[in-house]
Amino acid sequence: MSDYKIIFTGPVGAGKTTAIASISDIPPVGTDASASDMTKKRKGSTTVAMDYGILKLDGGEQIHLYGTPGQERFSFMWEILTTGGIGLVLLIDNTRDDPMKDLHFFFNAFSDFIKETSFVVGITQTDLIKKPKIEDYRAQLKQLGCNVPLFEVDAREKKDVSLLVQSLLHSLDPGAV
Amino acid sequence: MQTNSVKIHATCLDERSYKVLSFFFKKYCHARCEMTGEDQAEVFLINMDHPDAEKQCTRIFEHHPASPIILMALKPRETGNHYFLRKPMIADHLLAIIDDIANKQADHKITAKKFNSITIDSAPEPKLALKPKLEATPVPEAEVSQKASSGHAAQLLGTKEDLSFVGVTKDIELSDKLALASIQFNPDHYLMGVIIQAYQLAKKECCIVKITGLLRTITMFPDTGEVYVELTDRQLQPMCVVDLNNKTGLIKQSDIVIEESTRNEEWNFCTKSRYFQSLDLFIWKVALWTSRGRLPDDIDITRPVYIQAWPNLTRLIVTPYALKIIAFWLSEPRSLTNMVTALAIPQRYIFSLFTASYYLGLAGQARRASDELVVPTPIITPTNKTGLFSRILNKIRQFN
Repeated sequence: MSDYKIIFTGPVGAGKTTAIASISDIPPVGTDASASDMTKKRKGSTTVAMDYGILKLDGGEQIHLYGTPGQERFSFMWEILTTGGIGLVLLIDNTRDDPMKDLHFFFNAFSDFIKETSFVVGITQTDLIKKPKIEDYRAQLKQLGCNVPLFEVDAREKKDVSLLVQSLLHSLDPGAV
Repeated sequence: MQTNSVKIHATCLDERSYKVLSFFFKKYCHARCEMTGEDQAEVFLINMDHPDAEKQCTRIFEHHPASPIILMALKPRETGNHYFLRKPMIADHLLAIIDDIANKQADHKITAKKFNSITIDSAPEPKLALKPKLEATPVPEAEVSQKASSGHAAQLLGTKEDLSFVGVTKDIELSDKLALASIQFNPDHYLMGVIIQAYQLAKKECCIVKITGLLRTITMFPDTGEVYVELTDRQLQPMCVVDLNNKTGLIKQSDIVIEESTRNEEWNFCTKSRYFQSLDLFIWKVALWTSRGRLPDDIDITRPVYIQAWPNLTRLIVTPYALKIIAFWLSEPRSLTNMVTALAIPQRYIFSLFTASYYLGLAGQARRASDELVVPTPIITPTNKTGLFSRILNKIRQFN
């Protein structure tokens, strides 16, 4: 039986761990450690290896949910994690200094994977800071030549994360029912 | 979080009025504001019915350009960029202004600091630590993970379809003109037409627009992307299906007025935070309620229609098959006839989604010559992953 995976990525604090926990059928396996340096300014602990969750399908099939570590110094792992992935869920934290820069950074970092598959963008923490607006992200994505699903997301809300993943699958294959 | 009272310097008041106002702050504003001297003041309150008021107002503005000023008077007046409070003073109105000031200052502070000073142990205190009204203040992620969710989540219409949103319109033979007319509507005959007119004015002029002459006033705030409407969905939905030309109806088209307004003017009326909602969601719902599976009559189903981008579906109502329709439609402009044939789903789902996207400004009839080329109806053929994706979709749809 083949192993399939969906990759969650984004900067530190964007909600990758939470999003995986929202839809995983198992308690997510985290590798969080106490945050040090600049990361500590944003959250108490951060993912240093990866997060892992599972979606168990009827018939015993499993979809693996991998969350990349947010810190750039772990970027060497990103390529390994994406190998064999179905698609990418990019979460952007709207409260960060320059979320547009984050969008460009992760788009470029995963560009090879995106070319082979597809991606969706979830903007988190928009309830805390309202700007940039969703229209601003649309404009940025248009500049990047992408017209992909882009939603405001609360990573704690199962429905939001579910809708993001559903839209990824439909983008990859509108024939899926 | 500790809440500090707001330091207000009131001026142009006689001694007795000053004491009364101090008492009013303590008793009716629950000590959320307090009198202070000019040097410590965070907000200035000026009694404009005093002969020296204009002079004081100019002086204070020059000396404290960054401080908000509330002008208080018996009669409404032009206040420029200042807040206005009508006498006799009502505590809720003053508190609404204070909340607005606090939100703006918190917002400004967040933008300026961009979280640089946030530590895990202490949340940043906005200058005016007051109850949030329109916008929340930031908290560090350590707190975010423990607090309740934002209260926003995707609203999906699943198998138990909400008929008020997508209707029960049966599929028709699209080449049959008579049948086609039965699934078309003229928005000007419904509240939809009025709301869209106001929405377009608000967006174009970037101004607050209100609609009066309904059971309740509807006020649109395009700058914050919100609408204030003292009606529940249950009350609003029936109003959207009534033909305004029906002279026996409760709402008469002739009574309805769309007018520009100002934040100061509206602030005394839009005081209950529960009646604020997302403007986009409001337009989306009104469009769905009006459409109920039908199409605006200015849309030619044989000519291509486009959709610019994915609607922000997690904050809207997700109609059945919406994701499938958008994923298919986004690749290139297609005629609605073409989409109906290719997607093979009930027509009303396609028409409802088109109508809502159309009125939100995301979709429209293609105007470019190149878009007029007839796109052959594509056949959606299964890929080697279609089965897998369908199984994943079946699984995660359970979370809806």
